Amino acid sequence: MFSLKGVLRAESQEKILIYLLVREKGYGLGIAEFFNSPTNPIQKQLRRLEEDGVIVSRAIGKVREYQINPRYAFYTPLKELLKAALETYPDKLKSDLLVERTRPRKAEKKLRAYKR
Amino acid sequence: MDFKNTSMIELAVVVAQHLKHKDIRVVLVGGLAVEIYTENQYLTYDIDMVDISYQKPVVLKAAMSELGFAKQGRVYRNSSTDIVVEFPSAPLAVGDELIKEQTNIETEFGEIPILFAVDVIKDRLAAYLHWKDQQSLIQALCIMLCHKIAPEEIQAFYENEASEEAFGKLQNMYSVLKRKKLIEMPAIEKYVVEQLLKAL
Repeated sequence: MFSLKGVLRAESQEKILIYLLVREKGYGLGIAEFFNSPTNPIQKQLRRLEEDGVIVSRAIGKVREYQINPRYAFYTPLKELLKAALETYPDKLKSDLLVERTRPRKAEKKLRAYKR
Repeated sequence: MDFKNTSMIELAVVVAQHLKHKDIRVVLVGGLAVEIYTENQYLTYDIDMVDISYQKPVVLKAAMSELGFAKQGRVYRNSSTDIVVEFPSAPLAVGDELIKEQTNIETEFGEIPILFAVDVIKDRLAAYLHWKDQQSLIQALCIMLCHKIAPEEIQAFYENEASEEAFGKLQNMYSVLKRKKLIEMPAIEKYVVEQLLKAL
């Protein structure tokens, strides 16, 4: 999905921003794995967006965690634009983004899902 | 024992009845309880049972080994099936409430001791509130709608775990879903996703 083609300079940017809009926080590998994308373009665009002040990051152990910069000058219009883009996504992708399992799960147990 | 062709519910019945004969009283909780109360709308790969007779782990281990289950980490496995069995620690509780009563459900394979539907709902709602787990909210709403359990039945619990305002939101979701006759899990998920999108 690249709904904001023409506004953003890369599809990876849209993936990153949509992911961070919905999940609030994320890291490169996690975002790439969610979208089944290569990691390098995601990491590259994370750095660019951070340089431009659109997102901010902090280190948690060896992982760099990103979020949309709440002090970005165009924070509110950017969120509105991303929400409008998200509306155009297929239902399955919207559900996968919004309805994630966040309750704890013991290491020995498999992930589960319900019938769709 | 070979459980290659044994369903989750059948296996849960076999385990519960075998343990009962060994004076180990267990109660079904977790995903399989959700699956039973949502009439198989949920898929799970594990059986969670709480030992309410507080038997020693060695007794439980010996009883499970008679069924061919060996303990690996926290769960019991049998090489003939992917289904794993876990015994979370007693006591049975949701939020601050201790669960003192359970029920039995008659399945096509026999009777199984299980939490009441209202307690499974509370368990899922607690996961939603404490871990922001949207899946748990969908499951709770599905059980409420399938079993006609109105939000007012869990109002005190929910307001204690969250707030009056949060309860109002739950009540609203329930009444919209009920009015639209959306009781299937995918339809509930779609509605919850719409609400989450609005809240972004």
